[in-house]
Amino acid sequence: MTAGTTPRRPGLSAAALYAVLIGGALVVAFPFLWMVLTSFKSVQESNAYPPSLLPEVWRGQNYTDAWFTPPSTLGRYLLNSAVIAIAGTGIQVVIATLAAYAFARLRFPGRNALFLLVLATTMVPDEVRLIPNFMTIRGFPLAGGNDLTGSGGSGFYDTYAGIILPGLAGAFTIFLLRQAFRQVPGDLWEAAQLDGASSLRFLLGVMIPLALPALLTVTIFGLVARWNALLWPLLITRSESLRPVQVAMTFYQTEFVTDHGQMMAASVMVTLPIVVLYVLVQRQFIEGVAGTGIKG
Amino acid sequence: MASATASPNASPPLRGRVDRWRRAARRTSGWGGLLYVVPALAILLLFEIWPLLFGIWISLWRWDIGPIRFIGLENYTRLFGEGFVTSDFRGDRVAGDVANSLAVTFYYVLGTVPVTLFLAFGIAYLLFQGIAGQGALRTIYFLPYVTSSVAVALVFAWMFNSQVGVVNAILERMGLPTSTWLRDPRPAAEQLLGGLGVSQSALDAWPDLAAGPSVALVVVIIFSIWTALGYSVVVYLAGMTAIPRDLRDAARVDGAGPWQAMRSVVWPLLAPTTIFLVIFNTITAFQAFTPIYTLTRNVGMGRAEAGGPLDSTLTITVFIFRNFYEKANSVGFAAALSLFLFLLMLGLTLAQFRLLGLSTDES
Repeated sequence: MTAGTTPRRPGLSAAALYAVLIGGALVVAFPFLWMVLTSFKSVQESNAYPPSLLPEVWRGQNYTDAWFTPPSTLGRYLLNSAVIAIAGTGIQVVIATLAAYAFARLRFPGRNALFLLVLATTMVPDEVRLIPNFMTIRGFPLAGGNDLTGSGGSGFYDTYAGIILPGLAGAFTIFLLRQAFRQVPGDLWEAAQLDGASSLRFLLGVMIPLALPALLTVTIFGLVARWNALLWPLLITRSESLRPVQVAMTFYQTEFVTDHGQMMAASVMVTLPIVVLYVLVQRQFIEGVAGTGIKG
Repeated sequence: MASATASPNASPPLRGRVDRWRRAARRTSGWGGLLYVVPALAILLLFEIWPLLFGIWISLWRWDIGPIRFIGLENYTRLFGEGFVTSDFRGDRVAGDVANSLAVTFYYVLGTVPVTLFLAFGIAYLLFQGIAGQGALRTIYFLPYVTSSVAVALVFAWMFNSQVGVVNAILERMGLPTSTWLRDPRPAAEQLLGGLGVSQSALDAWPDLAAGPSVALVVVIIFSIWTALGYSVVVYLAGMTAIPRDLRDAARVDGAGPWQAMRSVVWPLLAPTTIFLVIFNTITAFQAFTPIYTLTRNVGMGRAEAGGPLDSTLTITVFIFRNFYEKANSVGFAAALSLFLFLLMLGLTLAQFRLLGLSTDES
């Protein structure tokens, strides 16, 4: 934060500054506020017009209702999302770390060409991959009753693997981690080689501890992106018992459209984990975003 | 970005190249390094590069859950033919569904990106004035970006509810006209101008496709700006913090006020940040699915199809989804559409690079 010694210029008084910024923040925060307030209202109250700001009686009933009414309980959907987010991000970070380390430090034939290939994949937008990946997952050889040619069964369709697989090697993650690994001084590497350390031991013992902030950033981004994802999980699943929570939320929209208190209670429970994560690791989060902008 | 190690005029005979690879392999880690990148490359090849080729292949077929019939370029003639110009039930020539989707997409992108950047720059600059509580305010502004999902989109749909929504209640309290918002397929500009007293005949003279976004699409745009804003605020703020102290001090010594300092120092110096944000936000907006799907799915006339009312929020992404997921036998057409979108985005990004790149050279 900048020092408070700079004299403020006339024309931009501190009071006006605060008024604009706090007013804007209130507008930005209002939907969250409205979500929480509505989640405690009764059906009659949430459908009253004009609506009152505060619930007359703060009732928690909506939360238990929202938890138990969908085909699988909300707990099941939350668990699915947690499994998908944690497993998907975990595997992705391991795969990306190995690749980023090799691209940053190891010398092997074709290294630069392969790295350019990795970067080139960022040019292919999600829409283009959607349909072919659906067919690839569905026709995956020897999975889900498929034979060697990928026919006969449903492959990884409607499985956790089907949801997770296509996003396991984010090129952008590899790029960011490679940048972080390259900032580790070269003499450390040379010293380790003189000591006879293997490249894997160097990665685990030196590189990863030094690049921990970058690893944390990509992990958080991976978790949030997977928690919020809708389109791919919606397409690739059919069973309620497998669907993540964002897909389940669209269900509230059709079935319970009159009981908005319940819908908002579900929204609160789905949004809360991400808000908690954000508050806990806010700094890495914001610095991660800021970093991408400056480098871009 | 280009690698410095590749020799520029190199086309050495194969043997020489193999020898060089062998020597490279003998140094330090050798072929072992390749093992580290194999898992990532396998996934990238299968799910990011192969889909491009596979997608072209699918687009040449009538395709359902699997291939039905090879039809060559028929999906493309449909896309560029009746997709752009078709005839209605009276036989009059009207814009086709692809043209409609393109118009909706451009309204959505043009409605979202400039406003987001303008607001983000303003907020970031105010936050940058070194006020107390900067961190807390930044946290609030960034929060919607983190939580952008179905759950918060439902809150927006609820706030803009046509009967009991809080937005209408506030407008009514202020003595302003209310709206049915997400259920209103009429052009927003027409509604606004009509409300200001412009005659209907003057409005009818305007061509349909150029009528601007529908009221429903404007709600979607407001939601998208709300979710995208925090990202750009944080990136701008980081850019401003990186401006060397003495440059700002120099401006101050020259007697520049905050407004002038912004125009003559901060804005020009942040041109690269702006370029990045324009491109990033444009690509994000082109690919937006969750906001449109969640906000518009349940408002159609009895049909739970995203993109309504009257297809006035049917962006290309949602149009692809509809052809893929909700219509039979049109997967091949959806694949053709997605490739069309890819080329469109690629062209647009390159154009933005050129246009914005040139304008920074001049300043």
